[in-house]
Amino acid sequence: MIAALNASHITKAYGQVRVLVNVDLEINRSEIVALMGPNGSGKSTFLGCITGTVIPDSGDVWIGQRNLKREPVEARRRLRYLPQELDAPSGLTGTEILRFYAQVFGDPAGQQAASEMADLGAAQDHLATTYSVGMRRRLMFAGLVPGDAELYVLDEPFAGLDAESRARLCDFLRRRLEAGSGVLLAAHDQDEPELDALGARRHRVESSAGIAHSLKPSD
Amino acid sequence: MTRVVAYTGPVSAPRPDLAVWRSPGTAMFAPALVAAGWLLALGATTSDDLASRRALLFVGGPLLLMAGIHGRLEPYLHAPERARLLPLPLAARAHWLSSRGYHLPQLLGTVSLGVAALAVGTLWPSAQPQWQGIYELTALWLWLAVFALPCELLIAGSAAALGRRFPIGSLPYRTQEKVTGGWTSREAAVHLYAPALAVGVAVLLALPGQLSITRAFEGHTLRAGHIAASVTPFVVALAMPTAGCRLYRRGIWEAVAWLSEMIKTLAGPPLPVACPPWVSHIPSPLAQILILRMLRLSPFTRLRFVAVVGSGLYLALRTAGPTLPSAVTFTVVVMCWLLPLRPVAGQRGRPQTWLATLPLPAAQRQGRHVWVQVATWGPPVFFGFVIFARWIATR
Repeated sequence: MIAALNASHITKAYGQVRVLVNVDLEINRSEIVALMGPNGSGKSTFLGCITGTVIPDSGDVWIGQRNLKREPVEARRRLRYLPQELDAPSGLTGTEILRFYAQVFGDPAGQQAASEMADLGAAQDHLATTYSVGMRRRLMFAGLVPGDAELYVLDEPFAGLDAESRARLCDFLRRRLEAGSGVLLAAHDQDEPELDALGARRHRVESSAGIAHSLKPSD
Repeated sequence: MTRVVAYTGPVSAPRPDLAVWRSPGTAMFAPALVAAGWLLALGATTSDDLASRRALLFVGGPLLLMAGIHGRLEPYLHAPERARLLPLPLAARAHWLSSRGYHLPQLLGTVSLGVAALAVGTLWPSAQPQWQGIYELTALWLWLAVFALPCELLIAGSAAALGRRFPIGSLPYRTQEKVTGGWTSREAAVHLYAPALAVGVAVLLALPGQLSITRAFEGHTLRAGHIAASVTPFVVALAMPTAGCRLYRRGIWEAVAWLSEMIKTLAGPPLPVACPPWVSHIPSPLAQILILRMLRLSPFTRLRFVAVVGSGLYLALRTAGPTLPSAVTFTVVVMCWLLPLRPVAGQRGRPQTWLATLPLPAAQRQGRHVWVQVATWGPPVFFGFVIFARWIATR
């Protein structure tokens, strides 16, 4: 079976600082992988390379059967990404942002499920820029819902969440894993209970100098 | 009785370079509109009617200053960025200097717009240029502008000092109570009056000098009394910036917080205007989002669009060729269309992770949509080219 993610020989340097050195990672269907490590160790850079927000110096990324570089739109159709920090676009309500996601991912009916996931009540029709941090996170989680993706990439998804929202997110990820999607997330030690509940395979990045080793499943 | 002790704020090195957070030109939108109206009104007078033009100057000058004063003074207290910078260990003077760094170019721009309106509006209807009249009107306008700067600085400082909470029963407390008029909170009441007060004081201080200038241009000699009446307000104005800065340093730490609170309270629930039905019929989801943001984040978007297309059509199709005033008017209309769209375009340039990972073509992942760009730039470029071509052809 084709892996949900196949990243090979990813290398990235910012000036003289080599953050990623020849990193490989394969995530199978229904598999969840957690990258754990100190701040500045390159987790977000690696996730950026996987999602196309950071261009690696070398290496290849495949989302399912699609190459991120050669088939940028098709690869992204199979990808859902939750960044660590996100400014809501100004001038739009939560409902309008979710409708946008539903349309872009070709699942207009998915807006309803996304609204239920966000559970923002009347605030969903307010301008998203006025949301609290927690509400904004919930809105962006809901943006993951429309359509079926092969890979979900989440950058520190549990940060700043209350217990109920954590449970809701875990439940969503569990359902996606059961449906055959792969999940890659960056996490910290305090997220261990959620990672245990999801059965996540951990990869610990000990060096603050960056990820410089292979992340193959056999590790 | 509640006693509130004024917080003098932390002391640290000033950082005047904080001015960079604002994009210049935002506060020029309203002045550009008023200057265009002023130009047209001046142009409508007969060529030798200097008295009417003076009257238009005494009305139009304060109006032009008033048009952009809120935008010019916004960084001192109102700007969200000010509230965000407030927790940082920056001296009050740094906040003052960074705000002034934005305020001065904006005022200079407004004054330049006024000079341009006066010059074009006076030259336009005349077969032979009335240079004497232009010199006089420009001198009168610049004399007012010289007083506008210190008055605006003083008022910005005063708004900070008076935008605080005072002990119950004290004179400032009772005054705040009286002047709110039910419009806002006590602490924010000063902001209802400050802009008009700044322009009013500037007019009052400039008036003796302006009358002396008129007298001199009419060929009368200026006596010592005239000169004293003109110079005395000038001496008073010299002390205003320093006083303004001192008042600002006293008030900023509380006034900004009260103002932020008042803005949130007044704004009510953050419900935007409803999405027009035609927007949801646009096939591209990104175009829908971009157009919706244009409609919501810039004022009178549809009216401005109609104005640019309408004025472009009129100038392109009318029998007589384009004239200088009509070209100026079209340029102002184009500015009125494009400048308010800058906040929407500005956000597009930021690293947009929310678009970057979506299954959209590369340009759209950067927030650009070809039809939205055509709608934005098409009318100004097309009609500008047609008007320019007609102007070349008629020469």
